[in-house]
Amino acid sequence: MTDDQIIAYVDGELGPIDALRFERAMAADASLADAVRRHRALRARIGGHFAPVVEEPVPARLAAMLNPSANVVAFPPRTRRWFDSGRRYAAIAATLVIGLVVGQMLPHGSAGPVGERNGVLVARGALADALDGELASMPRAGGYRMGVSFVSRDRHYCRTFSGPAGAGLGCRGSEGWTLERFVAGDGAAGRGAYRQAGSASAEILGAAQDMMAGDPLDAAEERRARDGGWRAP
Amino acid sequence: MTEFERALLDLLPRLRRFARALTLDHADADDLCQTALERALKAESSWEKGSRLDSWMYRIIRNCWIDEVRARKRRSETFVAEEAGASVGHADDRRIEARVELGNVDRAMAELPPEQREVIALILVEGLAYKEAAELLDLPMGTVTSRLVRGRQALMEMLGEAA
Repeated sequence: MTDDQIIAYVDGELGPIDALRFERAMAADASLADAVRRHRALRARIGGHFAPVVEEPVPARLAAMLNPSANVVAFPPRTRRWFDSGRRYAAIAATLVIGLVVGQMLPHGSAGPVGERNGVLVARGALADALDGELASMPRAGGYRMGVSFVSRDRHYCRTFSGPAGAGLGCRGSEGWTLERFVAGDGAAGRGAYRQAGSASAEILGAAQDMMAGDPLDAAEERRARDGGWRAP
Repeated sequence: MTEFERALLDLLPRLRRFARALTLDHADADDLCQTALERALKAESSWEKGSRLDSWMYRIIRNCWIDEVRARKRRSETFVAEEAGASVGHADDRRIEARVELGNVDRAMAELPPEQREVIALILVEGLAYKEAAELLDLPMGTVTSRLVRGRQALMEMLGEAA
């Protein structure tokens, strides 16, 4: 076998019959198998050397060429869901965003999704259930949709969400989900001080970005965290 | 933000990786991406919708890099002897003489002639199929595979058995 054939085999470029023939030859020839191993290792090494570049944050000057208005675009590609989340949040019509949520702006009623405990806002009812149980990869129709989940710098699991009552960012403590950000939906329109909806996604994603330690959880990590009850990692 | 811009933004991390493999320099790679994005935004109408945007962008990046290397070469020829100033690229027939520190992928890549390096970058780093790389480079398959094989052999030699 020539180097050309070995390399084509390693690169998956041989047709099925040629590949089979190659594998037969390899089974009978240890030096050929060794050459394949070395070429595979080389390929893995070259690819692996540059692979981390895609995980680097994209420099703001480059991202700004494509999206001058955004201030939360500088994410590595794994976080594409972030942009999807952003679109989702941005689509919430007539939404008010509040950095520090003021009591009277919240959806009312004891069965509402947001309550207060010891001066902090907490998720209740359907929202708390969704934060506990929903996976971003398996959204359920009609309920709350999970955006991105991550571990915060102070070692709590946090999740962004959107749903009927609003969108926001919650972090899991020992007594449930504390809401770090909450963007009220229609129910709160017109009451109190507010900022316009357009900044909602940036507000939430920006907050999440600031709080995040490392990368967002991928689907498998999210599932593991949920199955473990979101206990502090 | 247009659909086109969003698609480019999604691609950007991969484009940066390709640029890094070509330039082997952090700052050069991002400058190259910037130049290529400027060119792409101006040339949006020449991108055929439905065709692969990644290949189209790789081609732009590669062309921008060739321009940059030529410009540097001209500059270096203006001021110093070429031999002393030609830090970028090598003649096609140049033999690899430099001793590359074992384990240094960047240095080994830097020793490759540019036409081998770009093939290695497209196929080993970006994972393109031979055919895709050949189309992108407007080269016959045989040329691409021979550059790939020669580049691979050189890398193997430089990086050693432990590759």
